[in-house]
Amino acid sequence: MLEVPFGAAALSSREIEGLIRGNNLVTPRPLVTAADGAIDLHLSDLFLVGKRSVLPSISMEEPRKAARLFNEMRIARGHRIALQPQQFFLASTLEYLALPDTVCGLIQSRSTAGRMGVISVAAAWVAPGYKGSPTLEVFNAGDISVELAPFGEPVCQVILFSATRTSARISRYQCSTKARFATDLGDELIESWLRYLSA
Amino acid sequence: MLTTHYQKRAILERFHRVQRQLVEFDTRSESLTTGARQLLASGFEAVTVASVTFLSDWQEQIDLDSQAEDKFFELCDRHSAILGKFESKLIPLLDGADCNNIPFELETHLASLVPKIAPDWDITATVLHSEYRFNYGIGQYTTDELEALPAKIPIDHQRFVTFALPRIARDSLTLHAVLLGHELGHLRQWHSPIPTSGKVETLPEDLLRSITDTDQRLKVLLTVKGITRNWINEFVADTYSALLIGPASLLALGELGAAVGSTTHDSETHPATDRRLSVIMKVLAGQGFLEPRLHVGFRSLEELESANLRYSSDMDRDPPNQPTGFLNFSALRTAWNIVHGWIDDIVNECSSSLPPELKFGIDRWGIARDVAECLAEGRPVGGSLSKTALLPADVLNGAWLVRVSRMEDLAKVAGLDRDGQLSHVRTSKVLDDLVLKSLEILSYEQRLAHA
Repeated sequence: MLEVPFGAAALSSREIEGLIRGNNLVTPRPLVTAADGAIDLHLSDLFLVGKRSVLPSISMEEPRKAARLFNEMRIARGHRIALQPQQFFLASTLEYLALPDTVCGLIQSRSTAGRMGVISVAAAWVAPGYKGSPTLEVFNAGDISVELAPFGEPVCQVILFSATRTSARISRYQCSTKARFATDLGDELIESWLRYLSA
Repeated sequence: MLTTHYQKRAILERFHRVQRQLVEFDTRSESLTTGARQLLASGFEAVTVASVTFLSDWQEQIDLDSQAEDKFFELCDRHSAILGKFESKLIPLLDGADCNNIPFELETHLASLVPKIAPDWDITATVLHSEYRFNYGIGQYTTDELEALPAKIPIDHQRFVTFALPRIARDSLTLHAVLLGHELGHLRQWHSPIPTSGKVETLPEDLLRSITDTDQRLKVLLTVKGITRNWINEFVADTYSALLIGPASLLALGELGAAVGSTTHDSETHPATDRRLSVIMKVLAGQGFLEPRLHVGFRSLEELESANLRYSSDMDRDPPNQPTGFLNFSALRTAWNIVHGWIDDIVNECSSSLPPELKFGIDRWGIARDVAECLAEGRPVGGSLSKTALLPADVLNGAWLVRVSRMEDLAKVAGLDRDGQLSHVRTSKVLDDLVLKSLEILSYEQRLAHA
């Protein structure tokens, strides 16, 4: 069970900077450290982009099926990706977070991006002890296309809170470095095939 | 919308394409390595079993409930994932050469290293964005050979002097080490050949006189010259690899050698893996890697032990011995006798040719250990880890240290040590991902520094 103490305040800029220096909270180290009690996060260059016409629909009960709707796309250095109105894609942050067991986080869009219509997170919770580059759900809620640059302007930020952890439970997305779906179906299957072949 | 019928057809087409590619490999199986031939045999079996299973499961579902569309989609999903692995892993492994196998994360590092290794050589046009499929065969083409190419192909020497991508998986630590070490070593040799390589043109006469089979003397001479030239190039590339990326070169070659077949088999293009390992060890000793703790960590590798045994007394007592036909056998023996005498010169000439700032010496080993600590804790590394600029070679060596001795720690952090059982496949993948992330972060920091 996880308990976030009632009334716990977000960590101050000074506390965050202390964690960055002492605990390698985030890699690479931010250039502008926690100016407003939050750490800015940038887009990495790998995106999972939707191909809308593959399925009639998907069900909330079967998240794996959503994997069929997306293609992996890399954006070359110095290039940008255009996010069309009402388009949605998955991305991951350049930054790799390594939260201690006593800190949890919330990711939220940066207001600059939000005012252009780009909402860059939906699943915003970062559990204590989490290690990885969080997957971002990026959506253009505006009426015009927006160009996004990997390693460019930050699109979102993580705000950190103190937490107590009474039961260690490692996230199934632990040590993830790329945008990904619920489970890596292909790897599980190929492993079972290899077991079959070597039997 | 796609119906289940079209999905099924698409899956079967993909199976057919993969099978056709495997048949193509089979028709030229003599050019494949032992490991690749084994992989091909397993690939045939796996693809056949997968396609038969797909069809029988499909039929079974029709018998059960032909209206359950979701079940059919699920079936397609499963087999699409398997096909994806065949297409993205098996085929490139057999095929070997494809610029798509160069991970994006390495681009910045290659782009910054190549001008230092081979000034005036354009990596972007020839490797990263090349349109030429055949670009990725290794070889230095002569003007005559270039002129023999079809007329429509522009004659541009650079386009034909390119990286060779070995038959190993994308994203693997081995591939990074081979690209950043051995292949860059070839590039250096093409750009600035060491003096010893010129000696091939005037082979020592007494050695050539030792070829007793007079009927085939000319044929043997030509073969010996070719083998000698190839082997020198490989030893030169290995030497540069050891100088550029340090002990990671030893472990990468050991793993690669084990993956492609026997470590004691000489071929006309490459000397046996353990001969090459021994040369790398000699170079590493020159770089100061004699620390006992280092050797304790590396002694677990069987290839290294084999190399130690074969070369502990006298390299000269160990000529090629596989019965690959009289001509090749004689030629291999003679080539080894020649090259063996030049190894010290090769090592010295390569070492003096490379600027000191490009060498990975014992002074960087502490950084590699810090990198290993970080990776074993499930974190990638960034520039903040070290006071001096972090290099890709530091990351590779740190990662190899984890591979050798800290996999259990990493598995625990990543939640992969279920029931005390270590999943090597998954933990290796996590390690490879962390290495790529580290290289991505270093690229980012490098770009920031230039900006």
